[in-house]
Amino acid sequence: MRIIGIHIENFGRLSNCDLTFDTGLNTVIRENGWGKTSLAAFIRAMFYGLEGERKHDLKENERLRYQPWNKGHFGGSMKFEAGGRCYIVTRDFGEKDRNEGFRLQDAETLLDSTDYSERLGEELFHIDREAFGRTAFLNHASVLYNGGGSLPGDSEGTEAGAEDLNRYGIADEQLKNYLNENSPTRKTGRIYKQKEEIRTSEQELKRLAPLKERIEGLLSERTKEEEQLKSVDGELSRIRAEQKTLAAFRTEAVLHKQREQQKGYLQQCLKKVRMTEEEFGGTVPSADDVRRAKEDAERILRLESILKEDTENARYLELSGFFRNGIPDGEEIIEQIRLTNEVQNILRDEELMREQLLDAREQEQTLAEQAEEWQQKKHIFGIWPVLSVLFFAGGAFLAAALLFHKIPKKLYDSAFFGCVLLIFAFIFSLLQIIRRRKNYEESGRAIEERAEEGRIRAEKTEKRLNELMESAEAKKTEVADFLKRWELSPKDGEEEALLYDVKSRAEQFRSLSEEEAVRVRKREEKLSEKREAEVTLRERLAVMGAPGGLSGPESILDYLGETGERLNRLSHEKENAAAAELQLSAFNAEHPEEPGKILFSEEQIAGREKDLNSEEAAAAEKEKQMRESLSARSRELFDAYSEQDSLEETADRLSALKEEEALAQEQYLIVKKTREYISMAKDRFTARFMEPIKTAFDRYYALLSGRENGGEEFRIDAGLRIERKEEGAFHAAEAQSDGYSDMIGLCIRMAILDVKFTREKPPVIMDDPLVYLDEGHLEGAKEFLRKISEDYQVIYMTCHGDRA
Amino acid sequence: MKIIHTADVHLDAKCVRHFPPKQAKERRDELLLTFLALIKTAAEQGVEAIIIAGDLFDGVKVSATARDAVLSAFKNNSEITFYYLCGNHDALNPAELFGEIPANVKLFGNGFTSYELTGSDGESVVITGAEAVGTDSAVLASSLLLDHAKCNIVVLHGQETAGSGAGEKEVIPIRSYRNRGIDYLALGHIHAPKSEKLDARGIYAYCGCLEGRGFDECGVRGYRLLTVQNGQITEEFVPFAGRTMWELSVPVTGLYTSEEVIEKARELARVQGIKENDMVKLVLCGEKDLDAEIDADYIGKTLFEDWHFVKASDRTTAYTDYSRFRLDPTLRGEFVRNIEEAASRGELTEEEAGKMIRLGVRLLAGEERLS
Repeated sequence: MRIIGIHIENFGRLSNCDLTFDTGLNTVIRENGWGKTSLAAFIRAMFYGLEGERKHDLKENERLRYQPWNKGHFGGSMKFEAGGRCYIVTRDFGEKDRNEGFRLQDAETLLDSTDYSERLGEELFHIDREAFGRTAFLNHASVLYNGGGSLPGDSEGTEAGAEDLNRYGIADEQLKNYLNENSPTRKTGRIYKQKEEIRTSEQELKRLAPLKERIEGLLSERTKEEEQLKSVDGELSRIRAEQKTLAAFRTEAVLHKQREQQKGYLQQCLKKVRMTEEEFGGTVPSADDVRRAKEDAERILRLESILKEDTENARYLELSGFFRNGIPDGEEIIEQIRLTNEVQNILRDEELMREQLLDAREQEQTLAEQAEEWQQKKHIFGIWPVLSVLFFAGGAFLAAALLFHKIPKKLYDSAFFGCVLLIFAFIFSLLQIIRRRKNYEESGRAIEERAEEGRIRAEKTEKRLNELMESAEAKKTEVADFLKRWELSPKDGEEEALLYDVKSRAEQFRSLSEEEAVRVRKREEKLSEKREAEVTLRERLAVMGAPGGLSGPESILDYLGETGERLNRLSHEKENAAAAELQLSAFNAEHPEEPGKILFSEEQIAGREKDLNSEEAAAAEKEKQMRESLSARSRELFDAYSEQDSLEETADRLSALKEEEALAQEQYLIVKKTREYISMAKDRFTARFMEPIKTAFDRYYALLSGRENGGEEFRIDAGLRIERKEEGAFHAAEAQSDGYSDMIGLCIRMAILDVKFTREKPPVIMDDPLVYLDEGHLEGAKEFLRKISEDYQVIYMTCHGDRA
Repeated sequence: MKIIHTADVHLDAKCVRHFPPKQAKERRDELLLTFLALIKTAAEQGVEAIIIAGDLFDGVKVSATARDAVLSAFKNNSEITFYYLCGNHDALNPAELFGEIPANVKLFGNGFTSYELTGSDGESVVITGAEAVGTDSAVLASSLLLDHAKCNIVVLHGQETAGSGAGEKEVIPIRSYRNRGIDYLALGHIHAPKSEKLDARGIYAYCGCLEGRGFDECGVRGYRLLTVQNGQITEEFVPFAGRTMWELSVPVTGLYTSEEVIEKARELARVQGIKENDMVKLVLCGEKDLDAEIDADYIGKTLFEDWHFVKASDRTTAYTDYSRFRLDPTLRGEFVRNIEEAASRGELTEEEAGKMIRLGVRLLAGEERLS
């Protein structure tokens, strides 16, 4: 199989790119960043489509990773030759795998071909994408052989085969342990234990069927016993029914007795009624008549009492006597009261006037005394001029004496001065005396005038007083004359009180006179009413058949009281009779009298009761025993049901256990077979692949390294894990340098391809896998490329010209 | 007049087959709580009778809690008449179990017993029932005598059969109850609700259990509400279970991770209307790709956050693309090719081959730990 050419529409950074390839080695030398990895990925995608659809990581999801940078159409085509025919495969990748388009055309006719489907890679090479990636598709990142995928992008099981073979031991150990732990034959095995438990439970459950039969038996026995009990209960019921019948007979007897008693009582009541009626002597008055007659008699009594208490008013009588000479009218008395008041006022004025008169007299006396005293003092002023003249004369004499008797000069001035003073004093005194005399005379005249005036006033007052006293006396006389009409002789000062008393009496008398008139009228009415009541009462008594000779309401009332009591007694007796009759009717209604019914005697009943009691005791004892037996049967049944419950629980558990055991068995068999098949696979796998792979690996390694001793230098286990012998010991390939790792990786991949593809070889896509190879191995690498390109179409991409 | 028909409550059922001990205990408690809630609802809605068509209790081992709670509920709801017919699981006689039978609890015996019930609206119905335990089913059926003029409900417990029931016990020969004057044949024993025409006059119905006890009782559960009006009975199924049991099959074909499966399961649950309170048995089915990392245990544990209880089981078949290994020059390739050959020779079934390949390949890849 070989690729003839490719056309990349858009794929990652590559756009509108066309390349053609020959058989053998095809070297694509391009600088870094041109898109060599995209080219390699494009070729793989042409065979297998894009991978990592469900991945979110850009590096793992090729659809995301290789989206065209220019947003153009995502896809391209590849022309290839296989099985002697040329084809063109076209893929449109789109944004989702469901939008992916695939087309295969015959390159010669350009007609669509169905020789291969979209799983082109698998159909051409018979390996899947993963295997293709581990063998024919090498990039600088995945070529390294490190057994565990140490580089990013190599996580997809670069050496999955080796890994799973390596895990064979672990897996087998797990399977073995599981089989041992769950063994159905080992005593410690889970399934064995489950089987044992199932067996034990089944053994236990064998008791269930007989137990159910036993329960049925017990139920049947219980039913029989219940029926027997029912029979005994029936017998007991019969006895008790008869006892009830006897009790009924006894009741009948008692009822008959009660009925007779009630009848007797009724007769007694009726007899009493008759006797009481006879007491009335033929006519039984009605209670109403008696009540009315009683009311009449009571009314008469009440009226009599009222009339008796109704007498003339004593005060009225007294006043009638007082006013036998006539009743004064109100105005007349008021006039007298007014006169009395005037007298009283005059007497009050009299006293005042007398006091005034007394004062006037006293004042007159005082003024007279003052006038007399003035007259006496008036003579003093006649002495004063004489004394003044004498005094003057004395002074003048003294002056002359001095003058003429040659008094010393030094005394002369003093004497002269003294004389002058005396003269001046004389003049001043004289003037004073004149002024005071004038004043004194004026006051004396004023006193005299006042004394005269006082005397005149006193005389006037006295005159007025006498006039008033005369008037008062006249009025008093008039009042006294007025009071004498009612034989009243008032003392001084009592007139007014008496007048008021008369006035009050007069008013009261007038009032009482009116009341007396009303009283007299009413008395007449009561008397009339009494007479009417007496007539009515007599009529009523006649109707009632009262005996004659009843006089006075008291005796009539006594008669009516007795009659009333008798009537009450009669009524009570009638009620008793009615109640007795009613009671008898009710009794008969409740217990109808059955004439002709045979009534048993109490002795007969007691005898039969005794027999029945014995029978009942025997039946009850039997019933008790049967109930105890039934109870024991029920307990037995309860125990059996409990056991059945327990067994049914076991059955439930067994059911679950069986399900569990069946699952465990199933799983056990799966595990067992899995172990067998894994073991078988391991044997086959080892036999089929390992030797040819080792031979091819050694050959390629010799080619690449130039060393022929690869057969001893390397060891490959069933898991394709490669170890290199170094300094006498084997070391894992991943422990080697990058260059060695790459060499080992290239060799093992080519070895696998050789073993796997003996006829149609796939093209080998190499994306700079020799990048870590040192200069010393470059020649060998070139030879390696040349050699493999003899059998394979190799598309080798590098950015190094020296490695091409 | 409203009447509730319930049955197969199975109080104190162990529930250990489908649940671990803790959940089994919780489920037991829930069975009791739901039954008590049913009575409360009946009282609130003015239901005048509750027919319990057998298997109120699961067996002879009745806890004091369940016994006392049921007795109290009977006593405290004296306005409701309970017609309690013992089923094959009610091993204990009610009188023995409760010690006393409240006046509002009516029992049935081996032969047919009838009770006439008159509702507050004046509607009247005759409720007749017989415990079929230990009695020939054909004989029992022939002993039924009803007044055709009345509205009749017949209560029985057993498996329906198309046969005559002759020589069989605890079965209900439906055809023998046709044209016998039955308006409603209230049945118990089958745990899934079912209602069908009995004859021209009546219907027969299994109300199903009140709560599912395990994943063999998946689906909506509840009771039947009967309405008697003008002497006619109409019925409807009323979902009432506190939790619904679901078996949710999740096809994993084309899915590669547990997370994808969890998402798929959630989506399917949404479509089916599975609620947070429900219990789910998750069944992974379809083909599991060799590269798929789908762990049923992990998925179950994760989905515990979504529902009250999850039990996950893996019933997938391994998908094997033989062609992928045909050209694989590794031990795995050799292993798969050997299996393919054996399968083609008929030495292995496809299912076995798939499982072996999945196990072997994953073991060799170091991706599997056998335990």
